[in-house]
Amino acid sequence: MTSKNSFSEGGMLRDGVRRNLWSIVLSGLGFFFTLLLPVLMMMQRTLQERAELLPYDSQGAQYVWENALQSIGQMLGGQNPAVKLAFIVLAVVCGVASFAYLHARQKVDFYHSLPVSRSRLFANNLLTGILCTVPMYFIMLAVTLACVYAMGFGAAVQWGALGGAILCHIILFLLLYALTALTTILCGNTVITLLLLLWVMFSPALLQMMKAGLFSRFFSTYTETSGMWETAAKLSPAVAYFTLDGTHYLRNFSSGAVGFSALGLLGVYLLAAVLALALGWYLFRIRKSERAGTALAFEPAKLPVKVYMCLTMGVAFGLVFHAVAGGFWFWPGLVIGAVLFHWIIEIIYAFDFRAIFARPIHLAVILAVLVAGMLCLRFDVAGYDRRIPAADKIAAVDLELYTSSDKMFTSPENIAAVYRLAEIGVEMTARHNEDSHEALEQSFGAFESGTSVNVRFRLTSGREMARRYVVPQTEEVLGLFDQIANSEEYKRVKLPLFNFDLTANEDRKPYMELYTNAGGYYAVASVRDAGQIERILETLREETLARSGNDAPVLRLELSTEHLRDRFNSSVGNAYVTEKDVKTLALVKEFTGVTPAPLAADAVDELFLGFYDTSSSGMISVTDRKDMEALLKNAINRDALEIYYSYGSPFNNGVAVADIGDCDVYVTVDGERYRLAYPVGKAPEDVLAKYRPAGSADMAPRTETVVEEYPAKVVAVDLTKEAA
Amino acid sequence: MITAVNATKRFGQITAVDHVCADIHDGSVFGLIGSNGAGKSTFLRMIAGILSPDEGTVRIDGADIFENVPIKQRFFFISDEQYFFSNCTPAEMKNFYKRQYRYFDEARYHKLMNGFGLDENRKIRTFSKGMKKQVSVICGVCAGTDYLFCDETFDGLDPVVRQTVKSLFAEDVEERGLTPVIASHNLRELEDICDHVGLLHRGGILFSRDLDEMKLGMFKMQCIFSAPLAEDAWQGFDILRMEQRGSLYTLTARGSREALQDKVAAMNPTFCELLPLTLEEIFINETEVAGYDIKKLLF
Repeated sequence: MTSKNSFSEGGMLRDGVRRNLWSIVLSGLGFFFTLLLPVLMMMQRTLQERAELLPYDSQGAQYVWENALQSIGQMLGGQNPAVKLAFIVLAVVCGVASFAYLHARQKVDFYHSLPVSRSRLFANNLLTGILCTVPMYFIMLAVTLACVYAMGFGAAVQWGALGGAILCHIILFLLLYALTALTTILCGNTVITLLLLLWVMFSPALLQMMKAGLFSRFFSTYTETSGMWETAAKLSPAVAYFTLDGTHYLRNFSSGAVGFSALGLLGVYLLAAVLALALGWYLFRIRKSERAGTALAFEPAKLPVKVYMCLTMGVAFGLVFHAVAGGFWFWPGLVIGAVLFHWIIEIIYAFDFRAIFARPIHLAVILAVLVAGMLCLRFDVAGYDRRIPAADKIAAVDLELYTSSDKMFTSPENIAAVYRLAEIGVEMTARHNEDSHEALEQSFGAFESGTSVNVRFRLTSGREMARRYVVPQTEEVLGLFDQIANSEEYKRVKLPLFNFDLTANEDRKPYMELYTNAGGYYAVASVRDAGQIERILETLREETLARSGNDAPVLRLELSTEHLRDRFNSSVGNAYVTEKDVKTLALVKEFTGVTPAPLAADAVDELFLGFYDTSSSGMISVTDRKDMEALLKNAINRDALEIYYSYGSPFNNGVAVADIGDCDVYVTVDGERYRLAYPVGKAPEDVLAKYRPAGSADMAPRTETVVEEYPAKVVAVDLTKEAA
Repeated sequence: MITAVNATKRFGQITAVDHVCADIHDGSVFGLIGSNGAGKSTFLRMIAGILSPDEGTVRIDGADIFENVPIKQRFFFISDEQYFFSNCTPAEMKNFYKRQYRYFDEARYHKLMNGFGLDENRKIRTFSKGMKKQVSVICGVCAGTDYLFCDETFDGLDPVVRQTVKSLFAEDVEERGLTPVIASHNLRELEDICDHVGLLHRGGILFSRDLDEMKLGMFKMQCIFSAPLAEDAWQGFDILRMEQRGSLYTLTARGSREALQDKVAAMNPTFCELLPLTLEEIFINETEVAGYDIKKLLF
């Protein structure tokens, strides 16, 4: 006779963990090879190197020691990509293994006939996967920490960072594990599960890339932004995982700055994990046992999955064909991609090759939707190229795409100026392919060439939008550029002079090198005294804010930070001193003895002109002393002072140089070649005209292309080519 | 009691079980017979709560089975393709079942394992097909449930073990009112154990009858008459099948033994013998009456 004896509610979980011994071992090995072993190796090597160095280079030994502490801290914390990879692999392996029984009829019959509710089965399977992985991480971490302290590297342990890293690992593991479990439940076959999982993990990023490809193909004003790639990474948690250092971003996408909090993202991921688990639980409960062995366990999911894949792969094929063979092939690629994947998916759904031509009506509808969608983009039905946000909804603007949001302009004057540039850009975009140059001049005013400009808006809602316009270099447009560049806000926000960190302590201190026109590539002096640097910069700040107009620089101050522990310098940027900055020049002379010298004819080995004349293959050498002096009189050594043309705009650390159109002026000093530039209005046109080959001016391009230098991205575009 | 009312299960375009109605009374041995693809396994999986019917209901004592844990505590399902955890031993399976089934009888398990000569600590994957079936049956019998659902369980068992298993079932039916539901395509296997039989064909149940009732209400008669019989001589008999070879008449008729004997005696036969029908013969006759050829259905 039977009697109630050994019935146990909790035993199933214990059984599950015991049966999954392999995953416990796998987790243990994974974290041993990615955490404990590398840390042990580094500690042993450091101790050996330090012992070898100590007798004759105590500073070197100290450096090795501190470097090791930093590396070990990173390995224990959130900067260990191997641990992240281990978590990802284990999330996928354990997620699939915990629910893969759903793919075999034999096992489904066994489990689903047991007196166990589906909810309990789900919880049991879920917890089994987690218990086989996460505790092993903690055990291996504890062993690693014990070894770290035992070997005297305790200073490497930063508990706050470690806590953040643990939080990050657990949340990302949970999310990836939940997505894997959800996908496994959704499918009826393990191979299909893995394929779909790849799709789930990476298709959001693929979609973003395809969006960029489509928009750049169909919209004249489309421009990529850092936000787009940030979104793409965030939508694919397995990718975003590697951009995180515990609860912080390793590096900000737009500004490259470090230390930004990622708690918001982790919160969203945690919520997503909970939602994925809730959805997985729901689907697990309603999943029909007989779906074991099929491609997708839920019949209603088949069509949406097929449509999504066909549309995506149609576009992907279109873009690849376009990239390989040109614009025409976009359309055949679109059709081939969609048809091919329709066939593949139908074959997979039926597990029968003969199903290749099944559901032709679905295919026809998908193709129709795909082509209709592309035609909508082609003819800009939604008005993407014409869209400018309402002026009252703009919170900030910028002419750069890759700066962080707090570096955007918020003053009403700059917002209005950028808005006006956008208005001109929209009108120009609509007309420049159809109207003649004369017709455009009637509307916009006289101009010779156009320049492209990136415009970025941050709306009051927090959303950002960016466009790239071609604007004519009219008086109005150049005036708008001048207005922005001479604004106090621009100087304070964009110039490195105002953003240089003067902190001096045992880890870091400021460092400054001085370059002049005559000095060329070699610094004429350097300043290491933090106090002197501060005084020079404070004075230059005052004078820069007071200065207006486009004065030629005579001195470049390269601002750097000396990292004393790590023994390297990181350059922050340049600050420019003009002739008008007399107080600064006086301080520079006082501290360094340097008085900026112009390029002198005596110092120049050779001076020659390079005209954009296709009939002339060589440079024209200038040997006449007077002509040389005239050419050097107001010249700026572009390469020494790191000044680059920014056509139609003074956006180069506030320095404007003239566009001398069809000619480059070069000098050779002490064997080094330099290119020269001239302040606006000070180019020696008469001397250039004297040497210009006949017909060269007519043949000269109306603009040059490409100037992409910090801080603004202003690209000159040949309007004649655009119009053609 | 297990009650199926219009229970229907479809797999895509295929209707595996089509509006099946059946009552399985407690304390009886129910045989579910049918050819391959008749829907036996699907029906068993429905009453085991693995599959939810697309239409109709499948209930035990009035309660739906699907996702009903207390009801599932009352049965044990032995699949045609049994699943055992990888690399596990019978002892480990026993421990697992012991945690799932409230009334699992461990002492009996040990006794039966010894009786069948199975090593509890040997890995099941090293067992033969028949030995695996024995492990399943032992676990099922020891689970202490009210119902035992067996899908082609006797397949692969040798005759001795088959009889032993049947004895086990009979013992449990006798002692604690176990209700085994046994699906098989082999009629002969169920003959000596089932009380009640349901015949499934193409997803539908052709009929469901009590075996004794069928056996006691149908006989095969062989009679010899000295003179030829008139054409209407057999009026008053419920004849299912009749053959005549000279003066020898072989017929199958419904009715009790006594009533048939009395009627034939009144016709003054030279010789008359009433023979009980085998289950196979009963089914051949019943299904022929229903318009089917049993040989095509089962063999």
